[in-house]
Amino acid sequence: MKTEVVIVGGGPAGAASALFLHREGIKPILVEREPFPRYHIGESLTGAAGKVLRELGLEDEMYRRRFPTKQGVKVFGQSERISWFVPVTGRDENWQLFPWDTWQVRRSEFDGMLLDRAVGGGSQLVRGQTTGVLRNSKGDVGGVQVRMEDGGLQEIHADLVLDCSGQATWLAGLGGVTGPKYLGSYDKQIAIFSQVRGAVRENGGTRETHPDNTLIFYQKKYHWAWFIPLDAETVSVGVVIPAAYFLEKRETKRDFLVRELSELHPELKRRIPVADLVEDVHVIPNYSYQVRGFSGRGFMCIGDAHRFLDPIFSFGVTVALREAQLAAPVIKAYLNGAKRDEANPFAEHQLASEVGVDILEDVLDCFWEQPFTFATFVHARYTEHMTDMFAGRIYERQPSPALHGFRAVLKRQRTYDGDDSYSIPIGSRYHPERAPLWQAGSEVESTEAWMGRH
Amino acid sequence: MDTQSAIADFITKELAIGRAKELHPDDDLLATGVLDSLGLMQLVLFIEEHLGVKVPDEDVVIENFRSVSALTAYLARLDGRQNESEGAAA
Repeated sequence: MKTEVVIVGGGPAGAASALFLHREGIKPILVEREPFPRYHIGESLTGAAGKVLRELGLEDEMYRRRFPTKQGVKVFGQSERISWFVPVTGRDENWQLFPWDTWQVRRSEFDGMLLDRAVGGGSQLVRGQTTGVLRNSKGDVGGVQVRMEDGGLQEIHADLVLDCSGQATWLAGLGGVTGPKYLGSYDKQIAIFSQVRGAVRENGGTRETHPDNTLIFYQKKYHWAWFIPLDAETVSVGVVIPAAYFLEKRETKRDFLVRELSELHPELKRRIPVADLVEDVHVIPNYSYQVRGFSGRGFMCIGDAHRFLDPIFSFGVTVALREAQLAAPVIKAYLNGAKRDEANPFAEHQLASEVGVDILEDVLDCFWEQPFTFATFVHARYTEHMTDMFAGRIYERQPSPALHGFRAVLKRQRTYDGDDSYSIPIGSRYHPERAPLWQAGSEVESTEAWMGRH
Repeated sequence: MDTQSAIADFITKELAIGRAKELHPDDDLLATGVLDSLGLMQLVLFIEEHLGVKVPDEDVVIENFRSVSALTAYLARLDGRQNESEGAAA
């Protein structure tokens, strides 16, 4: 099989990459190992993600499918009197703010919709597991090898391999293609989650009390829960804590989740008086990492495949969609011959991707390290800039005054003037003890297998 | 009203409602629950609007706001820094 672009992974990064490449006249082959529809976490979108979907012409379909329409995020803090609301916003052509909505997405349905669109738009879908890369005559990445459902091996030769494999970080795990994969600052965290029926929903008639909003319950540093409506009856719930805390409780993941839903915050208990779980309880440990050198001749990673920080601001799908969008014209130029002889033809795009996520990292780190300062910046000093940040507008008009403020508080500088300072994983720069790398061939094969050992 | 009294007055009237009847300058505002994230924000706004002092971003940290005396001392240092730089500029 031969094609211009082969995409590894049929989730939002892969499907959106295909859709944006269709607009450039390219029809990638998509390789996906799981039959769809399939369960997946990462259910809340930002304004920027909603904008990408609208730009793809999907707004009507999103409404037609009745995905809950998120108006904002309400955060319940430690003190009883405190809750914060961050609205979903857009910026018009004059850069004026306007109230907007976006969506909460049951990923089995959302990912299925996107993948169907990609196939409908002309991309061939190959069901199988990629097992390795092919090398062209120059020794560069020149395609992938796929193990098919019947056990046979299929070679797909391509000018470009797009790794959209999500938390599996496939290319990084192969070794010999990308740079090293570093543990992220939140790698000691673990997320335990499921879905419930019968939760009490907001319904006060205002944007702030809209029943489809995300609710966040913050107990203390590194200990919080999400509440994300998926339809009129079902809510996705998750608890995020240090792994050590979970392990010392010595509970099954189900018992742990049910107990935390009752104990983590009174406002959460009020909304879920009895935990009626309608989905398995899933776990994701060690979800935070950064792959360096994630692009080069013949390959590029998009979305979770190269980096993930923390779920609390719901940026995962946003970053996947925006990176896919930004990559498409760059890929088109590459296929037309641009920068073919450079060591990394995608260096500029790679840097822009890292700079964007670095912004999220600085905001996230300040949120955990100095939450009171964070609240003052968000709700008093830099409200508009923070509205942009939460909306996911991180690739334009940055660094903003808010970002300068966070970096001043963290005493952190970001210079991108050389390889040594170029987006060094904060986890390893400020905590050298974290520098050890996750190794290719690590024992942790899957989250469920990991859970089985405990 | 001097700075320390103005701050103590504001905290007693606006933040410590129903809590500390008597506010001592060295009371740990965080530990006693008088200061929460909303309270810090209100205090920063009070300092900006009523004392006319802009607290630089990197100083908006809980350590400078832990007690009335800590805050008063911080503002005195800030005043000194700002006078120094104005003096240097002049």
